[in-house]
Amino acid sequence: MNNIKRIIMTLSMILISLAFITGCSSKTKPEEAKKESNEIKTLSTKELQEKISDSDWVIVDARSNDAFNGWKLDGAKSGGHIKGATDFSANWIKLDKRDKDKELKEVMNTKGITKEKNIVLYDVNEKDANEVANYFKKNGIDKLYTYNLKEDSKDELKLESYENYQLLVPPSWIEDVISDKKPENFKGGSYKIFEVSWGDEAKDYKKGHIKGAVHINTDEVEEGPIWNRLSDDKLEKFALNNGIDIDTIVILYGEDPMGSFRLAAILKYMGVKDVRVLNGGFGAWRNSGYAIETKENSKTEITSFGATVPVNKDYIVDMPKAKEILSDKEKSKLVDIRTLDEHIGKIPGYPDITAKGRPSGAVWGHAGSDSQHLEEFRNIDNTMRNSSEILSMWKLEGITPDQRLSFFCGTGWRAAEVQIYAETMGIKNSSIYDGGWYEWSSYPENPVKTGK
Amino acid sequence: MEFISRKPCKNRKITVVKILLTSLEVISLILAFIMQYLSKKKMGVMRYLVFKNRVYKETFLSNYWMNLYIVCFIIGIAICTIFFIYMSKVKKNNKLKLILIYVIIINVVAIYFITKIDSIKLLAYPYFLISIFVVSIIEFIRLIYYIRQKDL
Repeated sequence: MNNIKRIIMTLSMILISLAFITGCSSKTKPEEAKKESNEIKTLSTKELQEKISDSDWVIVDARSNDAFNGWKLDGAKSGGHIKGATDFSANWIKLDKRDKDKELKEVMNTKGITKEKNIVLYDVNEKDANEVANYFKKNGIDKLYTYNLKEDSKDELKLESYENYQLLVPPSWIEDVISDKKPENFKGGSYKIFEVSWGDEAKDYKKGHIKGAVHINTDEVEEGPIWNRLSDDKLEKFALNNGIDIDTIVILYGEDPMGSFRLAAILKYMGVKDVRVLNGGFGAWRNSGYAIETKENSKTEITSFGATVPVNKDYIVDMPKAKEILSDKEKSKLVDIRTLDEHIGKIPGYPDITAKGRPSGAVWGHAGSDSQHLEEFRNIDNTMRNSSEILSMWKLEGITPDQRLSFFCGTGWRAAEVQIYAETMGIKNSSIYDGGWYEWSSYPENPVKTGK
Repeated sequence: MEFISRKPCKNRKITVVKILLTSLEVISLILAFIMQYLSKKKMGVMRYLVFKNRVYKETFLSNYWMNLYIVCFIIGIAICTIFFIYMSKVKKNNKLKLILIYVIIINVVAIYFITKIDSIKLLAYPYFLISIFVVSIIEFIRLIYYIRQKDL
């Protein structure tokens, strides 16, 4: 009898302990998250409209960067963001990244998301705003409100999209193209997907790629010693080798998206009409959970490009044009997309460039931490930073979208990414100075400046 | 009580020097291979080597210097061959003959490397060339030391 009592006591202790552990679990279930956020007031459309121009209120778009840019996602019938809103995507909170919280705190400060302000978070799926609200709450922000962006309120709120938002595509768009679903902004026709990175080894490609993608080594489109794009006839051969003509819908991506932007710019220069880049790079695809294949796909050659290269010769310019832009001080700007240390001549920035400084007259357009990063133009998930922030950053340097802008860096990669962003935002008169600092500094007679 | 003979201090020093010289040869070769390996893995290394090759082509890899290196290696081969023939006729020393053959082979490889290998395809070319020089010079030093030691 005593033994039975002992067994019952032990079992009860175990059950109570289990219940205690489960109850104390820090993981908040979605229903609980919603319950937490249900304490947050939801605004009506009229209330939100009154707050939009109030400086004590910050309207925050909690959806994906693609929806913010203009894509109709999550079943929405119209895309874009509320005019005047900033973005803080729920996707950013879910990222698995070192020092994520530290970085997001800085992002919040940059966007004016502080405890002094009233923060309105909006979404379409009634989930994103709650997730972001909970995150803000944990970071000491209490004045939180939510808003559900319904179809019938979109006209009243005047949603705005980037003029060419379709240049940067979401993973779902590519998935729909592959699955023959004819998504938004896809006219149908021949398409090709390319994973773009340096080297024939294709390490990233072999680890796994989007179904049907073919690897392109960036050395196929540029060559030393100064790593400019190949000559026009060689570029045409490259296109034929990869089955690209002017009507091919070319979809580009990379683990590091910079290479895909570099190729996108070159293809646009050549004349390919429809070039898209996966917003956020391959990380965005992986986070979306879409299928990844490891089977290597071969290039398919064609015999005709369909036009004389280049069709858009002003998309990428060379040194004579760069000099012309520099001489037009009022209406044009040669924009330096390198780090500040490179711009002021503290460091050359590249192991194969010894010269330090900038072309005299060039203005600093911001960049990132080094020659391989572009943090000031990207969000934490490598998607495009919102245009208001980019334009505000440029305004401080005297760069405005109505000017003729030509972007350069060391060898054209960072400049290409910024050029595509500029085009996405709708900047009309912009180009890439391909030779960049490498070419400019190779000519001793070119005027150079250092210092701030 | 057994008398334990110790290796003379001078011999120990010579052993250390031999080990150092061999290590230098091995390190220089390994470095060259590492640079070549990295040139396939890292774009920055590749571009750096392309840049350096361009700079070196105007200095120690210019046509003038390359021809001078070939002449030096040919002289090296000639000296070793003459000595080999002399040794074959006058004194029987198989170990020295082997060393001479080894040095001749190194010089032949060096000439082949300079004349046939393309620095555009082998990006770490300057580093391989340096390692060949290091090996050639060290083997010549060893050869001379061996000859002096044996009083030949």
